[in-house]
Amino acid sequence: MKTFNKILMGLASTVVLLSGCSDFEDLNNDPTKVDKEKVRTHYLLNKSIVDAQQNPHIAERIFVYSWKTAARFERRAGMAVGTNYDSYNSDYLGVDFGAGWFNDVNLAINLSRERLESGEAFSFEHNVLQMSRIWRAYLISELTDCFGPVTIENKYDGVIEYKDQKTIYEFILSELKDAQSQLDPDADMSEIKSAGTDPFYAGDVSKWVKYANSLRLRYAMRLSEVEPEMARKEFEDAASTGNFIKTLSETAEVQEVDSWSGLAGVMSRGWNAQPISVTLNNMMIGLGGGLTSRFLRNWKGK
Amino acid sequence: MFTNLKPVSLWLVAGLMCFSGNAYADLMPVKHDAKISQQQGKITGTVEDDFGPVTGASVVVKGTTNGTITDFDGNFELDGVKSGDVISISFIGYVPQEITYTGQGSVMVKLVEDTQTLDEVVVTALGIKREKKALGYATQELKGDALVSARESNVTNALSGKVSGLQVVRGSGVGSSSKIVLRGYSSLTGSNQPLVVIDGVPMDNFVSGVKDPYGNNGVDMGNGLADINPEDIESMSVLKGASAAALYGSRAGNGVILITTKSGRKQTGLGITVNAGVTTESIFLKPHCQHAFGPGENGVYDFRSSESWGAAADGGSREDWKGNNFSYRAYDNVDNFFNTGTSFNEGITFQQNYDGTGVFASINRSDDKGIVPEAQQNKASINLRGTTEFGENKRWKLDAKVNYINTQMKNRPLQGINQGNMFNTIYSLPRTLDITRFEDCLDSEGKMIWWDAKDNPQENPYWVQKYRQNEDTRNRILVSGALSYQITEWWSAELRAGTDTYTTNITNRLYAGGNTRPAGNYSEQTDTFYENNYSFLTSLRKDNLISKLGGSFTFGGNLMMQRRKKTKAETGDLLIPNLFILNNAKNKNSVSFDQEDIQRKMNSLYGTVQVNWDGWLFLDVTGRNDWSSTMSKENRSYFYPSFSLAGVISDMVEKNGSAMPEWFTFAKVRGSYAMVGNDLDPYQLYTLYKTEMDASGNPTASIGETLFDSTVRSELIKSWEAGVELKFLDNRLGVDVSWYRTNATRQLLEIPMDPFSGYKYRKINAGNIQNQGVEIMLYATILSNPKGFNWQTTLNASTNKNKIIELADGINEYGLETFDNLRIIAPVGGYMGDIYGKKFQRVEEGPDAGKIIVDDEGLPLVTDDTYYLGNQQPDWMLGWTNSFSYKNISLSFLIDARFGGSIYSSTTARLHALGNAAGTVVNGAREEFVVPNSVQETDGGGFEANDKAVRPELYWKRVGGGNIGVGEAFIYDASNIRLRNITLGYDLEKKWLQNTPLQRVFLSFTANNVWMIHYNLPGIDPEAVSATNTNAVGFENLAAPTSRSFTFNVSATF
Repeated sequence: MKTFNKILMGLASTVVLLSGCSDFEDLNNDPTKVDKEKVRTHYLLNKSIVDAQQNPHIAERIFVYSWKTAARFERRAGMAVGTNYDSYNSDYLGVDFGAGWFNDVNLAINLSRERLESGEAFSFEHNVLQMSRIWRAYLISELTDCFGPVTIENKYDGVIEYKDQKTIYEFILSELKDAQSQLDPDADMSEIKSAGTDPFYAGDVSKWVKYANSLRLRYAMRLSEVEPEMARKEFEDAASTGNFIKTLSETAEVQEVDSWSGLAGVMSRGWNAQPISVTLNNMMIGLGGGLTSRFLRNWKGK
Repeated sequence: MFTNLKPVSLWLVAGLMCFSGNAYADLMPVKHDAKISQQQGKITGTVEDDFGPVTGASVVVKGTTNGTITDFDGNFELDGVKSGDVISISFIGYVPQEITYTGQGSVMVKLVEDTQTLDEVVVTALGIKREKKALGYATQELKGDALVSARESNVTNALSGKVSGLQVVRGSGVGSSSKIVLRGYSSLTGSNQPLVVIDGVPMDNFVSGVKDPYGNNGVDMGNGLADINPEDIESMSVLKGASAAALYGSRAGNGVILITTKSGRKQTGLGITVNAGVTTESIFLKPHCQHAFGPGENGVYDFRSSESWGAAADGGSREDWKGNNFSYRAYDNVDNFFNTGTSFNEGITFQQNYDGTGVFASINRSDDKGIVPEAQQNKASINLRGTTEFGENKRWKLDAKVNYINTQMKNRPLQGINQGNMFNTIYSLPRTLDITRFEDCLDSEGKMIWWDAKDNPQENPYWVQKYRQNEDTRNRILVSGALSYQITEWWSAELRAGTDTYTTNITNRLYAGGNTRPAGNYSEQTDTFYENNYSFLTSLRKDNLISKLGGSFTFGGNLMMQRRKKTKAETGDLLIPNLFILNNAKNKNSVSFDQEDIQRKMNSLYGTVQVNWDGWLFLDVTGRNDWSSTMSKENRSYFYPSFSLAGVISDMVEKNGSAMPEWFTFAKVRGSYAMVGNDLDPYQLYTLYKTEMDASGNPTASIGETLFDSTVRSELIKSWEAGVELKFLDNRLGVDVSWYRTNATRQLLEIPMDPFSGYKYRKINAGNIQNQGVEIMLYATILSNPKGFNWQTTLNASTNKNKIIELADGINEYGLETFDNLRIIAPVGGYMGDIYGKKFQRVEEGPDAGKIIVDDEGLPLVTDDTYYLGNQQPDWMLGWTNSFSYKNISLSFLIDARFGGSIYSSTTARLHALGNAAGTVVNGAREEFVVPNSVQETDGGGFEANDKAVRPELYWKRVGGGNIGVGEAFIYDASNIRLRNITLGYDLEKKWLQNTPLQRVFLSFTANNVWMIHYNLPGIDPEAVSATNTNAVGFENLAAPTSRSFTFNVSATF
């Protein structure tokens, strides 16, 4: 009996021990997270575009304290009296905001390229790659116009190269030219449309072409003083396509949603006072004789 | 197969085995009945000591289970004794006596107190019982009574001041969390909490708490250890350092608290104890506020102002915010708003031992209403434990325990910077505003009534307590079972299993009509947790194996699996007001979900070898190897050894023929070295994507902000310890001194990265954090008269230096927390918890060096950079207990002191800026004054004495304004000495109870936080910190005040 007990216990303990280590590796992946196979590139692009519309925190730092106060649309000191808000600049240039939007669109570009190379790409993948490149070109311009030399791409390989603005603008213009020429209007973009992950054009690639060309016009104009020859060449090249934004409906717009997120409109947040001038106030309430209906005769909005 | 065993089945199995053990004992007849042929006798007698009869002394025939215990009068009757049997009479605290039975009819036994408790047995790691003198490291044991007598509803708080080297950082208020720090902080990013083990099974002692800065507010969800009923605790061993805890390997990094609950012991009478207690609680310290001025600015009364810089409060009649007249004087809003808390605690305990089977059962209920109105906690605990010995020669032993705890908490107060934080609201209220007038908090339209019409004001605290509700319920089950078998006299084996599992449901309801979120909000959350442990242990021990060498060998293994899940849904604005169902969200896209599922496993093997020479020299070697699932395959296995040596000099001297001087009873030296670790949290290895929805309801994806590294390993802690233990005068005076040095290397650090790399941080192993200190335990029995007056005193003192030796290459400091422009950091070459903040600009050199520079207005200038202000850790901690007893009356008091260390009081800064603080009024007035010791800058670059007088309002707004004030002005010395506890007890005379079924009636009166003897903050308790879940506890901001309590308790034993 005694020996039997000893053997039993020994067996029990060994079995119990050995059953342990085999499933350890499975336990190391957070089940609430997603691995690369399941992620769609257009989700990453959506995040980059939506977040870049500036949630109330960053909009306050980078827009309200500077532009809005200087324009006297905000009753606050800010840039109008030269107040120093440097910590908020570093906020913008961090992973939570500016650098983060840039990183997200680069993730989309890297993942798209990987999938296209592997030969197992979705129907929309090629277009999403071009859309991401166009969007990235815009983001780089926002970052560099405010802060000077930045990087132009992030391959997530640990290499970070800051470029000078000449190189940056050359890159922006060449990216836009190349990307808009590669957009394929015949590809199946239905998934993009139904997922709602293209806040600008819901997957309508022809509009992205116009957007890219309009951006080329803009950036070319920016260079008109510092690089007049290049500016002229690029402008003429873009204008000659004839395919750029000409009507209001073709503008790249993002629908505002009153929320604490990037979709909250900077000028339409429910809790932020937007002072108006006395003249405008009088016009709105009809003081001074002008009938409101006269001024708002053509208004067809919601 | 074992991985699928659910805790519930384990519980049932344990319970069943318990019963079968009992039945077995009943069926088998007692052995000695068979031997009737021998000369069987009966012996009676009386056992006495110096006082009189000893009740409950054990009288046993040595080597058998034939025994009994003495009754009320010390009498006993033992049958079946045969000639030659040795009868052993013993009782705790007395020297056992033996009588050989040669046919005596009746004996009189006199027991003598055993002052030499040298063979004291303590519980050490893995439940192994060792003689205290054989240990090479410091442990301290507390008896259950010491924890119960403090009458704290959270047993964690009862440890304060009782164990040297142990600091309790507590939140305040009913259901708040308390943190235990043993020998300083060794981990920068970890929780630094010791492992809590109850009856051999680890218990999850999560610590919540609320960080103070913007965006990090909420409620304090308490800590896990508070679930335990202190009445169930038999003893608590604190394994302070790495050597004591080495057998727990990677969970032992911060020490171990071993709790043993009561098991059935033989009792006279029925063994039932009933106890009931009532507690009242009131605010201990209130911020010092002025009573002289009312709302407004510039000395002008303005009822719309939220500051108190207005006109003098002369008691006249003024118009308030509603247009009514009121008496313009100061009101004591803190007293008027907060309640006197009352708590009721009732319990029944049953313990008994029948022929080797012990049963312990207890039920306890407590209902606590603290000082915060509408906040309450109801806790019910049921505990059942059975131990039985069975089988041939009683070689088998089974020990099974089930403990079920149900805790319900309603309306935990909000802390941090939040409009619903009622402490903030009440402290900041203009002095002449009477808060009680807002008790009627809803107007006819169902909106909150509040005087403050500005943007984003605080909320009416009466409204908050009724209409910003939260409640949480936790059901917790702790099960442990152990089966052991004595294979031979020197070889035993044990199998053990246990689980700690709980489910917490949390509901938050915000009614409509408030001002932060007028449409209301609703959320439901469920947290589940379980940890299962299965282990085996086998021990061999033999003394005098080879000449005087004796030894023992233990070997064991453990399987641990743990899972933590959280599911939360929050509606955002509600569509139909006050309808709290998840379907009622105004905007389906604003419904947010939060989900977490964290799993881990750990397999371990461990062993110890103990060698002793002649019973006075002891060498211990232990080793443990852990395989943890949270690490990558290459780094998964790691080994933790420890070595310790102890020499009982006094025994050595005696065994070698000489004798110690009479007054020198005991001397021991010890030393040890150990390596333990802090396990890695799960999911630190691989970077994964997260998918979410944007505000339009469309999917987005992102990567986390930290670059994980699969080569990351767990923290490694190396620790040296040495100590001396001396006892004098027959154990009446004793001292125990330990010195230790602990180095925690391979810290898990997050190193910032260039944001254009794609990540904010990178996880690496680096660093070396050192804790070095001394612990002293001193005790003396000053007066000892069994029939008269007794006086015992114990002193626990400790000091610890927590130094940052190095971090990673290029990193000079690591931020623990940032509160606006105040930082609490760990700087290389400095100490953990250095506080950096802004200072006044001062002249650097020359005749005016050190003087404050003021601007043209005469107001002090503040630096742009931050400077060292102090460190949050104490230099010395002291706990001094004195116990007196005279016949049936006992009195004890505990003085708890902390010396050194700083705390930044943001509440005080705010109160000064608002004009509420008493410091803003000097001699009843607010005269202009010149900032003392100040200079103004002259055009030539030099300085001249400042003579520009400033108004107190402008001065305090400069000094206390901004978000938290100027660092230099509100950093205080956190030293404080307080009378922590007074307990008065009275044991009813036994002779009065003689003809009743009662065995004992004990009345006690306890007071906690009785008297703050000395402290340096103006009315704020340096212990009132709400950020107990961080390592940055040197910052206080609008936390709940601490409270003073009085408890009256009656306990009757049948």
